[in-house]
Amino acid sequence: MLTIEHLTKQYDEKKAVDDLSLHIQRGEIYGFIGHNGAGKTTTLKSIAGILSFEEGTIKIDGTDISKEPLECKKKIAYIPDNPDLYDYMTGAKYLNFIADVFGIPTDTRKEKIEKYAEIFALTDDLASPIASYSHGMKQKLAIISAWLHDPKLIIMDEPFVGLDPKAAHLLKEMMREHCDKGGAIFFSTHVLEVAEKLCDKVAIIKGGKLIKAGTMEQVKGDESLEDVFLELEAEK
Amino acid sequence: MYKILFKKQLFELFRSWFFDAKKNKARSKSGTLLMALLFVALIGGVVGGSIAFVAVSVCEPLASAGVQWMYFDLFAMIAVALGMFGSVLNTFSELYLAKDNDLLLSMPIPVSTVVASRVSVTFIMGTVYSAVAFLPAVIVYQLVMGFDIAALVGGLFMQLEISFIVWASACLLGLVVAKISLKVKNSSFAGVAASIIFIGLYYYVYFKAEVIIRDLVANAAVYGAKIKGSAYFLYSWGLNGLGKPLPILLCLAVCLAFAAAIWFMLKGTFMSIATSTPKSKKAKAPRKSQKARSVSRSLLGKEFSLFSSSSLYMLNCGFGVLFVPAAGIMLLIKGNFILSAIPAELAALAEAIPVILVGGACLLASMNDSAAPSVSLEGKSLWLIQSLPLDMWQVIKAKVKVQFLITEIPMIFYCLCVVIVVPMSVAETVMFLLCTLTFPLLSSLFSMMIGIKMPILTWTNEVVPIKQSSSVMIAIFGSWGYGLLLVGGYFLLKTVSAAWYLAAFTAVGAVACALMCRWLKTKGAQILSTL
Repeated sequence: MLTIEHLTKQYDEKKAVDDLSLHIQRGEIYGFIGHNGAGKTTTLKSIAGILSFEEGTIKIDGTDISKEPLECKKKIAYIPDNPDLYDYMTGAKYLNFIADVFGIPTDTRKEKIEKYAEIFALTDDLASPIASYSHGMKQKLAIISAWLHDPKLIIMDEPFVGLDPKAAHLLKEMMREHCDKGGAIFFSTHVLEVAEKLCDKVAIIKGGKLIKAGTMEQVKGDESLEDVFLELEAEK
Repeated sequence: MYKILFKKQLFELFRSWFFDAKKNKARSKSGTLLMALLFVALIGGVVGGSIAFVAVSVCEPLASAGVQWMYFDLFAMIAVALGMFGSVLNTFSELYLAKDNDLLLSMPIPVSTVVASRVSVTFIMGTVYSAVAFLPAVIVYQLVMGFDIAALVGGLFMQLEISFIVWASACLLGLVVAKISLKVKNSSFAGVAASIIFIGLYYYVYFKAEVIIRDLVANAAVYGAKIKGSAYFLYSWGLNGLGKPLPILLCLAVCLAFAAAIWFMLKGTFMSIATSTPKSKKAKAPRKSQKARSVSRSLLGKEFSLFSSSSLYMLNCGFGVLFVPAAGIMLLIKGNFILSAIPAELAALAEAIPVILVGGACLLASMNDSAAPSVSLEGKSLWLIQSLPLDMWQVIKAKVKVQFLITEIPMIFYCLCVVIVVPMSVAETVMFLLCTLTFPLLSSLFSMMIGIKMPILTWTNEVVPIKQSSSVMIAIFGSWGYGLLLVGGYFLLKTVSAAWYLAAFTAVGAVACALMCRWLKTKGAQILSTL
């Protein structure tokens, strides 16, 4: 579903991502962990087509993001770490805007918006301007918008930040359900317990370089993910 | 702490002087100096120059009538009006809508310090706007009446008082708008309505100013006696300009008391207003909003939502919507009178009427520049258009269309008024229509181009991209330049008929549109996708 080969992204002299390669298959929930400034967001933004990069290739379901960005973007959904949405729109308007962009028919969008708004207890707030939403509500709205068009790959940057426990639980269920249907999810997190329980595979990035990746068993063995992560972080 | 916050506010205000958005790096000292000189030349030269022109014509008559104090009163009031006109629209945004309010209020900083740093900027802007109207009058007085140190010192004290009055009035109006915004559902439109009333009053006085001043000068002694008798404070205020110590002390005390009262009001209410969210009723999302639309219609809807969400945006980048039709209506009412007033010996002027009418419409329509700050206003939500499967050219088209539509429709109305009132040959009529109706596209594409080339995405207050960015300034003055070039060029060339001249201009405009379209579609789209 997602193939990253030798990805390198530089900001002036500094390499934010250095020769990173990663493969994500259908049905996989893939966790991406690393310390602050390790290069997680840069990698995710490059996959989402927001950042251009100097070297390497990113292919989504066989399509190269650099060559056919629009085709790739049709197959993905991206949720950033801080959901800065259109504050001047109401929640309903925003969701319909996203649905229009993805060409979702009226009946389908109506059904999905009602379903997900109900799940996240957001129905009563959809008519209110996004400016009046809390961080968690914006996050829920961003999640609903990501699920609207049945993307093949969902990329999320710290998706659990700001969510209440119930919403976090619902999101985990939705992630699993999405992958069971043949989709894939690539997300970054600092909550290692969540990554350990939820992810099929995990990748650890440090200083822009991928230092370990594989199934949960391959990466952590008998130890906890936290112990492995801290050990790897301590290594020079 | 105040100093730190004040410096931050100042840097935001004059960001374009110190930072080159195009190159994304700090300007050199000479670059900063050049920007400052440009600002002084524009504000001081244009506004100050026209005020000085009026001052020269009224100074001596008022002085010879023995009412020099009235001279200072007159220009002080013009300065207050101009200062308020310049400050009132952004005081509300500057104070209550700043994105870093929550951050600053969460820090161990006294609320009064946060408020003081914000309103200090309002004070500076009010002083700048009022000084360009008042200080030329003080200088003209010195030149016409001879050097008088007392009058010079008095004039400077009066400027200080004007600054306090402008500041306090602008803050009071900002406070009123904030209170209204918290209670009214469509607060942006309420803000626009309140501002239009204020601006309407301003322009009413502005257009009547010539008659009022002429009347004042002709009957200076009579009005002087009346003011002395019934509005002693005004008389006393005018005496400030002559350097009379007692009136200076009295007026300064009154102005300071007014400013202090406003300060305590602001300080006392700031926290509750800045941290409140407007009341909104719980309601179900309307069903019609769930109807599928094409991507281009949806993007256009998004851009119109952005435009109508902010009173500051609508007022600063869409005022042509009112001015262009107003010019058309004025032509319907006064057009025949104006045309008949052109003397027969000025045949050249009569022939130039189609060109002048196009130029005038361009100048008025230049007030619409919504495309210029539209990229900057995407701010932190820029990731959305970049991550969605959107062709950037579609996004650009939507932004251009908003400015085009809000300008073209009023222009069509204006054209209809002109065609009804002004007698023109068929060729002149056709070319007048083509040239006038091409301008909205030209100015929209130009604004968009500048907006993409010079975006500011890191603002903490929308005043910055809407009012204080280089892109907006270039978009407005660029469009003005086109209007002035159109009229000036005709009088310089003289040899061509109005119809042929307009045809040539339309052709050049069409080519420019095509070139800008091409740039926006290729380079512009590429820049926007990687900002």
